[in-house]
Amino acid sequence: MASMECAEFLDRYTDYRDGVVTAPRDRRRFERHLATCETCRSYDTAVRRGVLALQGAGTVTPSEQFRTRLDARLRREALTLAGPLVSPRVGAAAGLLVAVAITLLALQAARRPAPLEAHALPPVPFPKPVAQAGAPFVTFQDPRALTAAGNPIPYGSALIEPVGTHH
Amino acid sequence: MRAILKRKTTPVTTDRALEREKLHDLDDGQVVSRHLAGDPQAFGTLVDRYQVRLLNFVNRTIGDRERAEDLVQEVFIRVFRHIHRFDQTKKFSTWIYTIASNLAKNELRNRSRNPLVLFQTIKKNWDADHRPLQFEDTTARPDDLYRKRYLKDAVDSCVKELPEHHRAVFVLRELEGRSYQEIAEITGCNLGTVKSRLNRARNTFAHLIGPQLD
Repeated sequence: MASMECAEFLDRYTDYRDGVVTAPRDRRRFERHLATCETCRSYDTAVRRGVLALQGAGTVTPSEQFRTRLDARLRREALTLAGPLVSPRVGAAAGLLVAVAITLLALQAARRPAPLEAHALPPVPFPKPVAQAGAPFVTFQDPRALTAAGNPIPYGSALIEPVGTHH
Repeated sequence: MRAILKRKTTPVTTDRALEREKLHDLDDGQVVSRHLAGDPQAFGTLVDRYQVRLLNFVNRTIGDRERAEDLVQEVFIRVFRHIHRFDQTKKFSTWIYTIASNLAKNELRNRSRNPLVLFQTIKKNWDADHRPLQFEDTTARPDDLYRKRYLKDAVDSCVKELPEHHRAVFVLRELEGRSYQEIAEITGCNLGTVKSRLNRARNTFAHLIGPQLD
């Protein structure tokens, strides 16, 4: 069986200390190394004694106000989790009110007369709006009338000519 | 009149005490179920069970007793708020320790961003060193007292010197006796990381405490 080196001992020390090394042969290797190596023995002793001292160092206990403060916070938390408080009487009244409102709405809907059908209007030709660039000018005149009257610029635009230019 | 009042109140107190006794006999999972079923005393039982353990764990992790109390209060508030989400097939202790560990981790992270907190901690420890001796156990012999106090201070400072993530693993294993699996769940690491951190923590601890034990 190969003897154990310090590096292996330190590397696997946690397994040994926590009882993860269960194979008897492995345990014997650790024990033999501890028996022969002064450095690893003092290391093991330091861990064991240090942890014992740590465990015996005593525990801190909560202050006197700790529980009072916590209980008060828990009560507040319970109220928050429960949501806003509504007394049963107020709840019943609100429910009744909602029921009455729904009934009234239903009754009103039942009484309302059916809407009359509207007659369709005859189609009406919509005058074509014509816009010219520049100053806005819109006419609702029939462009054909203007063309027939000899307007060279049709579609409702006004033709303004100086006097005497017409032959 | 007083006699009547006494007669009326005694059975109520006894009933409540009995109820509390019964709750103390149940395991954590059963107490949680009782709380969820509306038992008003069940949550108090959980607080009774964990307040000291959590306070010591958080205190060891962050090294500030007063702040540790605040954090433990926060742990219980969070547990109360989210207990309906707790998976009852898991261990309650692992769940509550995970919450405590996360809060302690956040505290250390915030502290590293705000050096003022660290200064306050140093000041507090300085004050503790100058505490008068009448707070000590006067029945013990002075040399025992000195040795005990010296050792306590030595181990405390050695634990404080461990890196944060090593310290949490070390405290959970050596003081709380948690298994590797539980530590992995609480700290959110895998088993390999837990073992390696524990080994390094023990190594550092041994090198720090060794010379002071001689």
